[in-house]
Amino acid sequence: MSGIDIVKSNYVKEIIKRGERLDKRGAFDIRDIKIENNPLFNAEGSARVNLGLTDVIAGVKAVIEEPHSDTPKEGNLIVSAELLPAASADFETGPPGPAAIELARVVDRGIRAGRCIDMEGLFLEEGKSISLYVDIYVLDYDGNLFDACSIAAMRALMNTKLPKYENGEFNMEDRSVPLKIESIVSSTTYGKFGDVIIADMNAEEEAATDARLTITTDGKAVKAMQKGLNGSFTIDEVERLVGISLKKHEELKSKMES
Amino acid sequence: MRRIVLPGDMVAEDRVRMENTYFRDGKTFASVLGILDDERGSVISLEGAWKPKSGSEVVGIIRSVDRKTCSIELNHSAPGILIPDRNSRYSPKVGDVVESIIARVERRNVPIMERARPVAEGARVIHVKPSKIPRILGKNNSMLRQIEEVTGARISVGVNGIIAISGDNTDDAIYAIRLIEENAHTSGLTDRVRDVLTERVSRH
Amino acid sequence: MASKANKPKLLEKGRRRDGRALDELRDIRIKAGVLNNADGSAYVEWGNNRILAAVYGPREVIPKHFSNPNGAIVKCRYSMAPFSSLEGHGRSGQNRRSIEISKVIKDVFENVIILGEFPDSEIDIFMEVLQGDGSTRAACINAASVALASAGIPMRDLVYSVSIGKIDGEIGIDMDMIEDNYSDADMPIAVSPRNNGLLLLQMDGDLSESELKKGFDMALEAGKRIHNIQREALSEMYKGV
Repeated sequence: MSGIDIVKSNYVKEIIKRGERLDKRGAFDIRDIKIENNPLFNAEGSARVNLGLTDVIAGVKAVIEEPHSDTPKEGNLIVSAELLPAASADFETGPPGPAAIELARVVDRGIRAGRCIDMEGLFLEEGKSISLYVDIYVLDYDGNLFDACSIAAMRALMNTKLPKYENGEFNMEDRSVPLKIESIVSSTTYGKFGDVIIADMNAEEEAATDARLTITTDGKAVKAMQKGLNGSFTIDEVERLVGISLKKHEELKSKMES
Repeated sequence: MRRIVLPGDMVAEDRVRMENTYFRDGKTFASVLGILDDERGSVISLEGAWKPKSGSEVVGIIRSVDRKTCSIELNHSAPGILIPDRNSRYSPKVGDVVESIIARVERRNVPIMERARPVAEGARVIHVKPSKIPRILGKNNSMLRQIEEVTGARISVGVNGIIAISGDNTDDAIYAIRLIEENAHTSGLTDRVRDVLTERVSRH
Repeated sequence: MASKANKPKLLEKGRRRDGRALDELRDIRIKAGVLNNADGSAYVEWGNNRILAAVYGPREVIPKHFSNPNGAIVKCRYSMAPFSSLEGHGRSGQNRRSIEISKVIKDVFENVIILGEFPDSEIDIFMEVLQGDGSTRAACINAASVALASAGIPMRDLVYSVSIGKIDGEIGIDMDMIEDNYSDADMPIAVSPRNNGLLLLQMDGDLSESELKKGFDMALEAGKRIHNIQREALSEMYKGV
């Protein structure tokens, strides 16, 4: 962290501990979410999501592959994330680092644990099934990549139309089979500053927080969680935040469905 | 006449010495995205990084303190080097936000600093595009003084694009600075900023 | 190049598969200043190509020992998103093709950027092909050129780029993916419009002397249009001046 970042983050810590936020939001208010459906059309499904000034794009490609030996009658889901160097002065070129890998795996776990996709429905025939590659690109960074990427991945899957499977291969001219979505999950990410907890941190807040918690639900139950950074949460806090996430689900789901 | 020029646009049929241009084949061409003012014969850059020049007033953050020197982060590829004045009452600490002046620029673009003094403790620090600083200051600092008067904030503006704000209504002062930054290329800005600020401050 | 066996017909009565004439560009839209964090940026829709270019700098050189006291160093990255093509899922990260393209694009911008103004600093140019449909390096250069200007980087010129090709034996410009796959020749160029200097020139295939000349003429003519679209994109950022 540069000196100016430390000066900025000290200020952020102070005002959040006073119960305020830089942009005057309430502690659990989520910034504006804008979704653009299928901005790309070479991908089988895509979505671009703006969460405040954070800007991410997800693309889904379907590929015929051999099923995994432990799930011979199922397809595959592979989620990857890339923090493009275009998105922030702090993102570097090169293969995905720990931050990008954690991000992708948290999004992946939410979708998998939420049983959002019928994996058996992706089975084609003996030795052949569909692998869904979901790649998420972070284009512009202003905090809370977990929730922005989770919305983008979910929405890109909801937008996915698979090519017809004919004579052992895909007919790319006819992509008309909508991917069946069994369930929609949403994630909410929190940050802790002393005893104060807020949701949907922007970049300045994220740089100043001690502990981060992502909770993914389908509105009825918790499907995945991930705590990050070196601070800690109490059990009471986690229980309270799970309650908030379950309530937030409807709001997020209706955004994703609109 | 004022018009937008791009890198490579011819701005004079002969060699005319002005900033943000270069000569080729006896003619003068723009080297940046800027505004050409025919009457003043100048190309004003609309965007771009800051380059240290001697005499510039900057704002920076103390990055390290050695026995004899300390380095100041300045929004530049190299930190500024300050040799603290023995007669000064101020002794720099890491993390201090300071106003300072560039005494000279050494080889390899290293700024040598002088007359550093700290801004008020707990000041907020923001980054703005260095190309927008002239508008934020205004003619003879008129814009800056106006913001300070209406809000009661104390603002240190560094031409390097770092601004420290302390005192009253810092949010409103930052709002005004962002407004100027976004509309720096438009005219009538002084009046607009005064109206918007007066309205905002009166709401408190 | 793809096998000639199932080669589709690329020309019908002088018109191409998408109805274009041989010397006609696809639709081009450029928007400058699309990213918040980057010092300069541009988004380009060029036919079905979707390109994002971002510029950072001049900034501190990392690692330090690469820095040059005589001027800025330029770093360039061209990369294709895994979901950018219709067929299959591309591997993320750099491969031999993208490394070569990054290098020739870097050569272009090292020529026009006035490097001496920023000793011991670096300028980074990132070009992301979100969706590719032929002539992506040309589209990337056009995007990067606008992104650099919007970052206020001093340059001698605003470079444009276009690809020249031979399709069904005829010379044309701005090939899409199918035309590129089945072309008889492919020649992307990047031009400094002030003096028509060629800053990038690659070619493979088969071109006669007269075909070469014809291709350059078409490309320079199209370049005027591209340059104007770049100019409009940059002016759009400062409406009201």
